Amino acid sequence: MRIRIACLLLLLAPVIAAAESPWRLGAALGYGERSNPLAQSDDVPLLLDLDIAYFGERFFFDNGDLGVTFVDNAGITMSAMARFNSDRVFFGRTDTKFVVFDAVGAPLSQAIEVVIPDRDYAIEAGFELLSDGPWGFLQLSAFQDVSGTHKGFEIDASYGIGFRFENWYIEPAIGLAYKSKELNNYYWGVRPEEANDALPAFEAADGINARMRLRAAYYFSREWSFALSAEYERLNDNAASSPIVERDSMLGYFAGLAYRF
Amino acid sequence: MKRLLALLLLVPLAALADDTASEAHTLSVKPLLCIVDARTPACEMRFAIRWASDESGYYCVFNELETEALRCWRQAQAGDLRDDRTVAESFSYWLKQGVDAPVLAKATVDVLKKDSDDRRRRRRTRHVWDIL
Repeated sequence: MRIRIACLLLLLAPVIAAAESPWRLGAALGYGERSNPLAQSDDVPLLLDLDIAYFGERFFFDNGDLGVTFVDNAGITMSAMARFNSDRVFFGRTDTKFVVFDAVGAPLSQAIEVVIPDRDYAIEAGFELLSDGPWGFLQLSAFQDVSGTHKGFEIDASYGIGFRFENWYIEPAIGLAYKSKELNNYYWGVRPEEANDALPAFEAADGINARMRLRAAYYFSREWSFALSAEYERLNDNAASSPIVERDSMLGYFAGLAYRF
Repeated sequence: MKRLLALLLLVPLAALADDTASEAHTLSVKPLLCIVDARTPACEMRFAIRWASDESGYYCVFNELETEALRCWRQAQAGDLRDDRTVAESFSYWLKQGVDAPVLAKATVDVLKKDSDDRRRRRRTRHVWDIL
């Protein structure tokens, strides 16, 4: 499906490029992985990445995020937004395992099936503030669950800055995300009804995830580039202490050929 | 999948090739790309311009920013020159046989603006990868 969309984007390229368009379309083909912090889980592979966004005067769609901009001036842009929570992405790649030892390493009388509990996507609504200048780019956001899934909220701050070196463009960025107790516990906690001898119940409190990212691109032309991306995100201590979490951080990377329409 | 991969690998090579109006006349300009953003709104560039023709004659190199030729050659079949310029917008070089003569070959210097007027285009998305 993704390949068909990429082919369609390639065919549409001359039409889209003919005039300034509210659309932002791109595709990157290469190889990358994002580690999965969950126990009994697989890393998330990536071969093809698509960028599909539409920026109207007020309304915009950006790779799954929906927004309505109500302030846009020389200093800031502010929008009301809706999105899906991103923590759910790891729960789609878990495996079932049978263990013969309990959580503290004592032998069990019989093998127990350990299943990483499933979690749902949450629809979140909130506000986002953007600002930029010669000093870089700032993004602040606050989102509350409106789907009744985790009933929590998240506050996020990101800062990045770009550097040009001839045909290279390098953008380091850092960010912090505060996750409320309700959000953290929904995704990373273990309910009593999900617990057994090998997977103890766990209640997660609130916490702050920290991340840093480095994006680099070598531009062959305005449209074509070789893109590199690496991102490290550290889970907050409360989430990292969960018995369903094996690693306290996520590391992602990608290298590939990118086309911007 | 293999065809798409081949296409993706071949097209950027084509993008690297210089613009030319015809095979009888070639105009090569290097570099062809300037990247600008809010902190560096223009590129200080030295262009290496080289032209060639199948036939000897009177040829001039122009650019879109000036009405007069950068340089002209008499009874020449090839030539080269350097042009130092501060670039903030895309523009083209042309090979012609005089001010009012038709364009024989053209090469366009592109400017890639990393900072859009619409700052929403720079937002970090919740996209799993957010590579592009």
